[in-house]
Amino acid sequence: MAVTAKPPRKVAGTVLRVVVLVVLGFYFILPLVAMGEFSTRGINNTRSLDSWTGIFEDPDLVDSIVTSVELAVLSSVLMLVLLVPTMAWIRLRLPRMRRVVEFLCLLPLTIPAIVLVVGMAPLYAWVNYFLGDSPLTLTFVYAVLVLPFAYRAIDAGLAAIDLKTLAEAARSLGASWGTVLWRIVVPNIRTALIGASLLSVALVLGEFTIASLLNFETLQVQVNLIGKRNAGLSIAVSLACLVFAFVLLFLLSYVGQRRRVTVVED
Amino acid sequence: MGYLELKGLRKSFGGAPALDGLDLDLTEGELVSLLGPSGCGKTTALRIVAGFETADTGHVVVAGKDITSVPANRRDMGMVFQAYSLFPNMTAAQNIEFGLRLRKASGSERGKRVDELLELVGLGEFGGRFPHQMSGGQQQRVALARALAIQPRVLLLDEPLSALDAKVRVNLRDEIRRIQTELGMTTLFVTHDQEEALAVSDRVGVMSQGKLEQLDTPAVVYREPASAFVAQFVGVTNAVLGKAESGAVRLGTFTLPTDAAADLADGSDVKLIVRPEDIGIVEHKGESNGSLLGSVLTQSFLGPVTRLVIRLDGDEQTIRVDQPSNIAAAYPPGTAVALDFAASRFMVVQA
Amino acid sequence: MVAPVTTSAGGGAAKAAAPGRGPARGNVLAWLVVVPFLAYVGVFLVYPTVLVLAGAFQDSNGAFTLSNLTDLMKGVYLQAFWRSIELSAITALLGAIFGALLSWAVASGRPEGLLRRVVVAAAGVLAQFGGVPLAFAFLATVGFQGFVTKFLQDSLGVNLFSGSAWIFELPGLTLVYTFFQIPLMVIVFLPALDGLRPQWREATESLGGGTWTYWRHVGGPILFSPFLGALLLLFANAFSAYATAAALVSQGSPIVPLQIRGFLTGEVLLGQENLGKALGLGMVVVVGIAMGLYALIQRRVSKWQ
Repeated sequence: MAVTAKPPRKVAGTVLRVVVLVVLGFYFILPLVAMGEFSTRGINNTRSLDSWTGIFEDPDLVDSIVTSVELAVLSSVLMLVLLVPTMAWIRLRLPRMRRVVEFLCLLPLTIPAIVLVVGMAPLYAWVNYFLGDSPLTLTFVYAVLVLPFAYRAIDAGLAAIDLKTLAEAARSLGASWGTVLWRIVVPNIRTALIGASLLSVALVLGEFTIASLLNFETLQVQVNLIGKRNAGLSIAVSLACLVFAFVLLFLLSYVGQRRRVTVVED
Repeated sequence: MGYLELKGLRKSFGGAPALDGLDLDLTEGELVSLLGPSGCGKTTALRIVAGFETADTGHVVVAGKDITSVPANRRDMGMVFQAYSLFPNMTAAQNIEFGLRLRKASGSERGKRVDELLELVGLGEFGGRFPHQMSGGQQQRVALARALAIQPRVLLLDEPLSALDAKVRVNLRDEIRRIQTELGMTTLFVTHDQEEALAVSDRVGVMSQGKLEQLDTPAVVYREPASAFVAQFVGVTNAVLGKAESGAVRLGTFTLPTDAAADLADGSDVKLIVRPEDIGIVEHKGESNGSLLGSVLTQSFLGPVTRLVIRLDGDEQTIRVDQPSNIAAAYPPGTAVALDFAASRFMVVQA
Repeated sequence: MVAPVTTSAGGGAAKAAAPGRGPARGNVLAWLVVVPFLAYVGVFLVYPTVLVLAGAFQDSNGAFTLSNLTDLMKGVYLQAFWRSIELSAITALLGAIFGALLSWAVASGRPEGLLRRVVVAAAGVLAQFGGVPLAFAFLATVGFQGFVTKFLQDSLGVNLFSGSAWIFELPGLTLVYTFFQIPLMVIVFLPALDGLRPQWREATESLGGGTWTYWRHVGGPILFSPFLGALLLLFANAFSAYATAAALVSQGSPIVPLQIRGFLTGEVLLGQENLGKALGLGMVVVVGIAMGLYALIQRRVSKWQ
């Protein structure tokens, strides 16, 4: 009976891997621990959950959370409404526009938010004139900010199905374009749409630059303000934001499971 | 004593064993195929020989030396993978000479050998091309040249043709056989395509669930399958359901005079396994002569041979019979026929 | 924030004309469908951008001028640009190296495994949605009342701030930026590592090569371009970043994004507003160059796949 020893290169590789994971793991977990410790500090070296319960007791904060959640939902919906028909249509009928649409969708990556907001101010003066000055008007600019992420997710989803064939099959059976979009395209790219939406939600919840410089009170703006007067509370909220976003993205990793192609033996 | 010996190899991944005691001897210069469905253990066996997996128990011996614990990069074996194995950042020539560079061959030696090998695999002008500039078949030829460049003692081929188009596959397998014979290279060839295995091998090892079911020349494996699995995996067979009756087999109202079912319990369900070319056929004009009767359903013209699908009388089952095409013309669909089985050319097993 | 860009290979092939109609009429109607999208993006993305870029060339009366740009080249503004570039370059390099190591450690594991999911999700959070919370995490750790600060003070008698309030200046920014640069590197570089097929490693071994040979001749060369591209992306990302710095630094404007903040919050002389737009133009140019180079490298890389 020959039991072979593990080749030395495997052992060295594993050791290095463990070292890297431990060191960098420590580096990144330390701030989380620090936040946990800081936000549970009571008076005279006791532990207290005051900072955490304070989250629910601060009306401005609660309002801003509600606002941000509403914004997240609205922006996702607007993004889907804008992108899905357009992208599907481009693939089916206007392939030459693909480059243009792709360029436009990826353009926000090259224009830093801080620069965009400078040009936004006069535009938003008009928007607020017509639609009032609710923070929900941020939906319009947020839908633009999420374009790059949403585009790539939806593009991957459309690429994975044979869109042309499915659409032609549906059309030959008498479906209108609307039916094709709603009953054929959307159900088959569901996971991509969920992915795009989750990314959008996370992005909107974390957005600060434009909201703060246009003077709207979203969650992140509020957190920043709180930081100036109540360090414990602001750190508790920050930790909550990070954990929440983590959970969202963690779940996202399960949503995108590639379907196993089962070949059944005849 | 063979040149390449696999002794009692066993390997499990988690639960079920992938290899359950494999013994195999290759003589120098022979090409042996490991044939079987996916999951039968053939790739695991090959990877153990190559050194990319370690067996739980067992030995691998080359030319009398036990190499079971030798690391993969010192085994001196050439390996051709199923796909994607050419280094994308190097040209064909650079890929081929890679092994030689590691062995510190001089520039001129390398150049000569690369040219030799490119000629050998029929890609003389392709030295400067990158993998993404070549077709799948061409890439595999380069992969073969690269493996041969180091003049290995053993050549290992892991389903090298599976990712290629049908026509390319047939051409390339003949090439591989030609080169292997010319060089006298001891070769272990893994495939799930039985036609491929039969066409190129000196011997074929049919595997199922980690074990060798039969190891023999292609003709013997085909004509004298050792088990129902081999019979059904290699070539085309019929599997007709019937019942055992005092050692004979009853199909509907017809009893096949045989004692092939002697070991099986009376009344138990059995399968009659017989190849389409081993069934005789005559037109049945109404006389009762105690044969298996049926009527022709469809004909499939396959070139030299036509395959007749015949529905058995009094039964829902169909059976395939091959006849030379000129003879098959006399049995159009609807013809009533009588079938007879050549003695000892069928097998009876538990259903 | 900046995120990975993948250029798709090849636009469309055949023109799909509606069956039974002349191509011209079919296409016109087809175009109508994309008009809403184009209009929307035009209003909410292109228009503000053009406002900024054009405004950089205008004085307070709207007349064409280059004085904004020339003002950029001196004093405070030029220093801010250099500091931004320095900050971006250093954190890009740190992020690239440690991020590549972390990516390798994760890629060597199971693709569906828990470690990978956790690291990728955490990387996504920190890289793209960290912003303000990251600044507070930083303060909670090494701020004046921070966990590490107090630990060092109480246990080792070491004062973290004996020199200066460095956490609110470039050193502090560098440190906190690594917390989203390293994760961004993981996100961008992991696909490149996944693209290293195990057959290449095995082929190298079957030809007699070891670990060093593999990385020197195969793995390294193949990863070189993606690494360079990722470096550029990280640079652009750090250069554009605003939220973390804004939450951390309330006084002073060491880097360009904070300078622009100054203009928007009214801390600027009258008649100088368009200077802020010029700063914006400068940012767009720098980021544009970095992203342009990145796109070029991406195109080269995809040829090999």
